[in-house]
Amino acid sequence: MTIEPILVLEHLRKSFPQRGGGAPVVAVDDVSLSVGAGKTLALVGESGSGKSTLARLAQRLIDPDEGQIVLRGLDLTHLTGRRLREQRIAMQPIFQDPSTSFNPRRTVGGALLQALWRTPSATRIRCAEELLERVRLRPASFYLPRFPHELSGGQRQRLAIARAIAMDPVLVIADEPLSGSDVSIRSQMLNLLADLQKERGIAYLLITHDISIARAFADRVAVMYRGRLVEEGDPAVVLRDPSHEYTKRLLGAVPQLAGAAVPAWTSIHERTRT
Amino acid sequence: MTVTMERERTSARLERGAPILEIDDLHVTYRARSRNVYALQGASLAVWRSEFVGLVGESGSGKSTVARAALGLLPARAQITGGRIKVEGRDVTSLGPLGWERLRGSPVAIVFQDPFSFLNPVMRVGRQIAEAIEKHDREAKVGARTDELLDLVRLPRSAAHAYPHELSGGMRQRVLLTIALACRPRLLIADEPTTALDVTTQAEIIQLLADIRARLDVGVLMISHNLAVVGGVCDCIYVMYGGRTIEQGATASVLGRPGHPYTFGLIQAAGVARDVRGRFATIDGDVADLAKVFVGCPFVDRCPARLLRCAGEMPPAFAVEGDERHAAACWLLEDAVRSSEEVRS
Repeated sequence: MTIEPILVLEHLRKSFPQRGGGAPVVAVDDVSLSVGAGKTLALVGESGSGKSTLARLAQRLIDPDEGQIVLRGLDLTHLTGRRLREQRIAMQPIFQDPSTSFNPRRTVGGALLQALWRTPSATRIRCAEELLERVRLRPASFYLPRFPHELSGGQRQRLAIARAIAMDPVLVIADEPLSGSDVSIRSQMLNLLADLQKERGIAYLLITHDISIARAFADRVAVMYRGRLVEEGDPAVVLRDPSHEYTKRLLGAVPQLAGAAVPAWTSIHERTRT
Repeated sequence: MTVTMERERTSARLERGAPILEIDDLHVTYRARSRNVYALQGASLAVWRSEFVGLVGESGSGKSTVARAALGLLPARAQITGGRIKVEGRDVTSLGPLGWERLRGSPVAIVFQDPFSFLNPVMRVGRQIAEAIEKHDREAKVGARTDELLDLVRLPRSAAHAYPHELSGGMRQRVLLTIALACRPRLLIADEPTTALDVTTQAEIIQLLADIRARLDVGVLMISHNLAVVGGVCDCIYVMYGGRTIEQGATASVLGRPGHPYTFGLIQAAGVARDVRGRFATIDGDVADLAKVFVGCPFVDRCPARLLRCAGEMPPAFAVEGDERHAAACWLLEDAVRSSEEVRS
């Protein structure tokens, strides 16, 4: 079965000049990747491996030295101005730290209405309410007049997701959206992202250094190390039998818990809930 | 862990006398004009020398308040309204600022989550280490001791000449550790020391803490929101929720047979496990609001197994089968409940 690719990155290369005039640092070195429609690609690697640079290249927030970025069959590499902005709408970001990615002086409603600029103004508020309800910030009327600092970290991250899906993107690029959050919140977010994917067919490029998330959530996993793509494939295969030394090291570093004995009450709970 | 090992550990504890840090039913309230926050409502823990102890809970469960209380670093608007803090057997609950000053660094030192905000950006790292040595270790030769400490935390000796911004996140965390160790502590508190780091660096720092514990015979209290991080290295674990210690015991016992539904939820979430319906296991709802004083179990609103009495009656700590130190504050563990049909109603 072949899945139509939404985003194709071909032979991307990006280097940054060093201060003091040393040899330029090659942050992304000949990386080719593709994200299938409605699928999740997890991009794994340590800090400095080039994964965030790759995400910025994909959104054309910075320009590549070489290579091509193709979104839905359209080459974005040399688009500018209005035509680039139109394409970017289909490709929304979620950032690591939701507390710094919102204007602190704008309310929740204000932030969403701004993101809904393409929606006819008559229905904008309805749309904003529906988005809040969808990410389970309920009741929407309570959250609309709040400011971002009045929300908890988990609630802010839900708001970031609501804003990202406001424009009906085909692809969401999430850069470490879950690192630093509590494990319980992390699972809630994964469930929400999975549901949205199912409902709306959104593809995710999920950047993470947490391999357990990649294993549990992604359809494909790509491992970056020092700017190069060192491994790519089905998470079950790549992470069970890693071929690259770095992937092995990464797997060894993940703290693992042996499963706990399931307490007696869970079976009762499962029965009553379903 | 076998029963004999556990017995040996218990007897070793008795020989060692008082714990370095003992917190007993501590209550702390942050006072604000508009509302009070009851941050701790019965936190208890104890760390003996050379023991590696984990303190786990979500953000807002009160773990960092415990760390601050243990060092006398509570802000002025915080007030201890009950319980006791003991350092090496001495009651320090109502100690003044000067008294605390003498305890900080040695016997109790702390490493914070974000090393950048605790290092002076315009001072070379070596100078900052030297300050700690000069204050706490007067007899030591500063240069030799600095080298010795840098070797211990596996930093190159040249790191002493660097400014904090020239080092990576993991290296900065090691520098903070060096400064803490320069004080020759008998207890090292590490407050989320690896949260901001990569998995590979995180694993290195945790291994380093374990090595240091073994080599220097210090106790370590590691605070984390991730049970998986704590599970690999700690001898015993305390779980906090709603400002209370809700479960405690030897690591293998707590992780293998959790007594509290909250602990079970944390274990499931840490493993990114999926339940029977293919959902990622989570703990529904938000962390308990500390603006109120809990009459019943603080976890009741989120608990998948709550009983009728849970909202109105505070559960005491019940022993959990298997390990003699393992206890959890949950009504499900009461003998009467376990044998009755109340669970099913």
